[in-house]
Amino acid sequence: MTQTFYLLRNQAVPDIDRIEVYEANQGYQALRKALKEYEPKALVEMVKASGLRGRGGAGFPTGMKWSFLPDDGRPRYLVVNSDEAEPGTFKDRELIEKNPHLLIEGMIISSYATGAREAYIYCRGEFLFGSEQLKRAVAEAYQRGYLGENILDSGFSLDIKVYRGAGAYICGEESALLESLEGKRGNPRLKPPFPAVAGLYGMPTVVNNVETICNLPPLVENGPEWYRSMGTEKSPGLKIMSVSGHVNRPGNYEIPLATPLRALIEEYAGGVKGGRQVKAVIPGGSSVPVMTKDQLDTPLDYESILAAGSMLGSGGCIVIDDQTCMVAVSARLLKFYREESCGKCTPCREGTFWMTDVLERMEAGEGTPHDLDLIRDMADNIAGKCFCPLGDAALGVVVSAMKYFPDEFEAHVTEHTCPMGARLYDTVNH
Amino acid sequence: MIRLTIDDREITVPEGTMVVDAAQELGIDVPIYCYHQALGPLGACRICLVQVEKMPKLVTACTTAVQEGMVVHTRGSAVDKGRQGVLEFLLINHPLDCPVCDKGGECFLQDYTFQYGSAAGRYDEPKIHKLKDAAINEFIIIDQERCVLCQRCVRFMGEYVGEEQLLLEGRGVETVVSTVSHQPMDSQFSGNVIDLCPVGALLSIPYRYKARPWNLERAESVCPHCPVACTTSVTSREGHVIRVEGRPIPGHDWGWLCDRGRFGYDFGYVEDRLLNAWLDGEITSAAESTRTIGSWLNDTLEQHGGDSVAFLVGGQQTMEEAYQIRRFADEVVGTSKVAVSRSVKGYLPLGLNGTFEDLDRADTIVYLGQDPYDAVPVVHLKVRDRYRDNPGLKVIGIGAYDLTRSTVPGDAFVLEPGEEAAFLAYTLAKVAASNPIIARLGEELGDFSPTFKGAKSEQEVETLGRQLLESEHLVLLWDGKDPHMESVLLALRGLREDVTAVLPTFGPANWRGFERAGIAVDYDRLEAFVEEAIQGKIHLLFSIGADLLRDYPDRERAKAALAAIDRVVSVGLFFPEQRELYHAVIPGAGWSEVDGTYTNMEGRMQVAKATVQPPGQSRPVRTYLGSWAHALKKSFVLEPEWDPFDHNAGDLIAKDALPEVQSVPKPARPAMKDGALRLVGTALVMEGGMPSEILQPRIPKYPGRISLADASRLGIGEPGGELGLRGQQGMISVMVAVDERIPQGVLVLPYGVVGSPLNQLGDGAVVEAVSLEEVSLR
Amino acid sequence: MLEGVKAIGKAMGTTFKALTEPRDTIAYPEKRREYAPRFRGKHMLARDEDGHELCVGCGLCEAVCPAQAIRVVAAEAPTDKPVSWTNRYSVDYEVDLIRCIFCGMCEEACPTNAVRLTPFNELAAFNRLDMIADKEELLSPPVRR
Repeated sequence: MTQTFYLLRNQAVPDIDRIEVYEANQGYQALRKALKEYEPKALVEMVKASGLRGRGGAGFPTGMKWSFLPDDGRPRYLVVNSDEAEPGTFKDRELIEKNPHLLIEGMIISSYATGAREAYIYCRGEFLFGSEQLKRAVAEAYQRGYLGENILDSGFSLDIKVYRGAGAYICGEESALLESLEGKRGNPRLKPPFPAVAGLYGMPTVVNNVETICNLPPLVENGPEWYRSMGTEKSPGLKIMSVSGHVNRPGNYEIPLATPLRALIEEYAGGVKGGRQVKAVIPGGSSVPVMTKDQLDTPLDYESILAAGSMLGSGGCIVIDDQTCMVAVSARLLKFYREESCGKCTPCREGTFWMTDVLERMEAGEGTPHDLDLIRDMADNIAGKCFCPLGDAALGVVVSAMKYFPDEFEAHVTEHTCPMGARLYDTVNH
Repeated sequence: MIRLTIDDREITVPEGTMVVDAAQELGIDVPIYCYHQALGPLGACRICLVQVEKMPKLVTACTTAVQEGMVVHTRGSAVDKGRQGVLEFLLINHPLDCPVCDKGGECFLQDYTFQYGSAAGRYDEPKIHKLKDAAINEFIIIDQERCVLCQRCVRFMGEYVGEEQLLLEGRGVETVVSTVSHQPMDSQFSGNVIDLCPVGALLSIPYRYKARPWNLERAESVCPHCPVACTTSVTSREGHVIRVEGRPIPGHDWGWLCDRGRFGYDFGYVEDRLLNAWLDGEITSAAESTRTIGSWLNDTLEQHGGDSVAFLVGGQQTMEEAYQIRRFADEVVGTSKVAVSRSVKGYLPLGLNGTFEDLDRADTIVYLGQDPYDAVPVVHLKVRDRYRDNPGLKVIGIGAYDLTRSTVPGDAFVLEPGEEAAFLAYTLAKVAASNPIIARLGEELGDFSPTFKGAKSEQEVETLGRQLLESEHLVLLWDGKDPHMESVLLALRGLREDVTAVLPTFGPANWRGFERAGIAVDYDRLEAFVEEAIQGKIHLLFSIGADLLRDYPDRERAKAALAAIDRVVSVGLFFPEQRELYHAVIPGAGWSEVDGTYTNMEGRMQVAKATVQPPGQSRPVRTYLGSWAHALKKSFVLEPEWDPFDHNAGDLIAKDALPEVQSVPKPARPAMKDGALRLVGTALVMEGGMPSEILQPRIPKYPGRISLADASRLGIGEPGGELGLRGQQGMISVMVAVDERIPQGVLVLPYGVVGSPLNQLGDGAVVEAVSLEEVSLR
Repeated sequence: MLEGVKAIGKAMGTTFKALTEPRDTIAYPEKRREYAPRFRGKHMLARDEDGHELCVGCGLCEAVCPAQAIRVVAAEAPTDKPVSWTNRYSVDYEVDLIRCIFCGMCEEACPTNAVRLTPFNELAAFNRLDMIADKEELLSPPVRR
């Protein structure tokens, strides 16, 4: 399968994380072009025209996000969200570990476009190597004059600081990220005001995902028409999909949007392991509802996946084969959300805790038929009633699994055992 | 203004109002845990779910601002189901131990579960266990299992007070409220978290297991401890005060209390409380003491006439009692000698007196001589509230030590002790020298120029002068120590076009009320009384709620005055100091035992209801006044129709004309030998004041404070040590600790510290450190 | 005359008939009546099997009592001797048996099943004070002989 590489194009080049090698591979050319040929406003317009959407999960149009910044003379900040903790997603990690200069180049272009004079990279706490790479790359960029005062004689100045989080999933939520960056407990903030109006230290702030920012150098190089030539009208461009689970070649694959899911699994990732069948796919990281094997022909773009009842999310595609117990999958994923709930709002804090207990009990063969209604009712009490999206995210897999595989759940409570004989883990509270 | 409909009723509210407050205005109850008007929206508990038409999901009423034409439903099946779900979640890890929980009966978790919750829980997994019954300081116990994590306490301490002493620890379902580094909270405002906690997670230790809401009597009252006179609600059971809570007054006061006010209510029950009458050191019956004192009064009046009898009042009683004392002196005894016992010499003309609303509007606040955090804590909270609203608020501390603190940052001018008035006159002369008022003010200043501890340039003094003249809403908090400050304040008022408000932070707590009741409170009267007593012109003294030895600035003189009087009668809650100077001591009744009106530092009259009966033989003053009148065979109507409230001015005392500006004399700087210290007295609400067993662990062991430099010179280490002091009039020993805000050469000592009487040496006196042996030999 | 004899004879007949009939009264106190097991008489405060007092002094009985016959004062349980099963107990518990109407609502309200109404109903005393049952009395319930 031929792959179009733009973001991952230099990933195989040895030592691409070093600035000389990066420069030798057309590195920082886009930045020169952007600073020389574009006014900041024109860059924002270009990003708008390209139709680039945020790659962090929500898919919000990036150009529109930038244009929300109020023009009131207050200092602005760019914050890059590299707190990639979504189970099943590992694209940002590869980008910052292997090719950190691409992100830095993208950040300089974005800061120039949005008028930020200070930019932060909020790196996931566990990305020790990634953050070291970034710090080193930032130092190199300072040395070469890509950062600091008067970059490339353009009159534009920028400082980038790399901040490593303390290991909380919730800090991937932009307002919790800002709280954490300010040195506070990483709890989500009340919105409105949105970060664009009052973000970091109360100032207008753009928070973008690593992959989104990495899209900017190729975008500046090739122009918005090129970008629009891929994908669909509403979801143009490229997306890195992290494929994991029961496939032969798990890994990051850069695809034009609207590539069918089946192609991603069969052609890019080499099909399901051991010649088994696909049972379900979680297409966009653990927070989105599952898709079944009947939906494999769905094109991977934001609209089509939404129509199929799921979300493209952050592009963490988890393939589940037909030997896997969906109750165990639900329980394991929910346990992750239980551990990662920040504890601020009641439904998420207590609901994920309770539901995990019930699912684990079911998986251990101690469920009762009443438990199924209980889980549905609990899900109803959590859905749409939490402070931030984490509560709803926690429900994605559980609720859809119960919808698509009701027999499996029924079997757990009537037969008091797992029909798959699955024991993904045995840390049941009981 | 925005119009919206809530439950089919229309209401118009200002923009930015939250739906929950709009509903509240309509009298529609929306359940809340995490929301508090003073703290702003948080959206954590999710109990306040309501349905808004055209919105896909239920929204939280506390985080949703009103919008034009919004249609809100606060009940309905979806809303009730949502609330029921939230309550079920809140209860799954709750220990359900209501029978042993002190909050039982007044708990919002109980109330809302009763109202919205389901009858039975469905949770049968094991519960998470957390810390129970752990003290977070001397007064507060935490039960993390009962906590609903509304964060009110955390946010109050961190955001509102600005002292981050509570935090959330852990994550997810294991999140708990805890103190920073697990150290006890020592904020002056820690007790407010008990009132704020909607459930039984933060409970009062003194109130622990004392009562249930159904065996309580609650009475509206006013805190008696300092001139702020916070509104309180006093709880009593079976004739004992067992709890004091803040009483919010919507639109006027949040109902915060300091820990002195909240926990210092037990002064009526301490061991030292007078329960019997004493004549010449012997317990006697109430009847006997009344007869004897009546005959003393009779004899004195016959032998020496009315003017040989004097009344010294303490300034803590109610206005009604003050009025009765004055009438008794006037009509029954026929004496004009009624003085108020005071420790500071200053007086603030009523016309200059500002209100707390001035603090809410201030753009510049000046502390004169005293840090309000220590002396009138809730005023500090009001300043902080203003600072939260208006971060550009300018705070200036002018005194003998740095008066500002990190919770409300400001600029500090640290002067030689006692030079505040001269410094301000000097400053005003710099920016408005041509003004005749300023010229009059500075007539006697001569070549005075201030010396600053810590660098301050003349430029900064000039900036200060401009700020004082040009700020839009100036509020000054004055400690009342320097009587010449009155003229400076009058001059400032005369110069300025915008509002100039002064709040007197000095006591006694009800001095303004005494004035309204017809007893002049100026210091000259007290001075004249002491002088006449020493000259032997006073033959009988009634000291009512006063303690001259403790209050009067010169202890030796006070002693001489009392010793020179033939008969001294004390009426009070406790024995006065050196009770051998008193011939009769009879037990009085005080706060929570008598109904009455108190006037606070803004001149606002507030009613406090009696909740309990006076214990033992103690009786209100009016009982004694009546019986003494009876002994004189004169009629004295006990219940006169006197209403302190003015129908025109409402509960604020009407303003009167301002006096003339007098000149400020050049302050004399005493010669300081090497290593000498200057004593600076200050009224602190925790250190001084009435005895309390509950507060004992909180009252600082080291009330005196000195600079680090002096401490290391004198060999005082952590946490503090005892220091002997010798002045011109004697020696005392003081427990001192280091305070970085104190400049070198100054020792700050609160008034009324038991065992370390500041007035033995005198406020502002030059003292030298001596060994403790020397002090004990004196 | 005959009428009179007849009437006397009828009356005596009734009397003699009644002599053989079973009696409604019993010779109290030598003999005592059997009560229903749920009869509501004097209160008792129960203990658990380890001898700890069950009452935690929550005061619900006090709140629910329609005759206001109960007074409860709670306190922190002494830590040195195991009086209570938890850290709170009632230091004072008084029932005014003159006021009490034996409705049993205290028993119903009790969350720890500490207050129970025993079938003991021999309540008489020579003065009113003796009719106020204190905690000690309630903890050692009287037994009907």
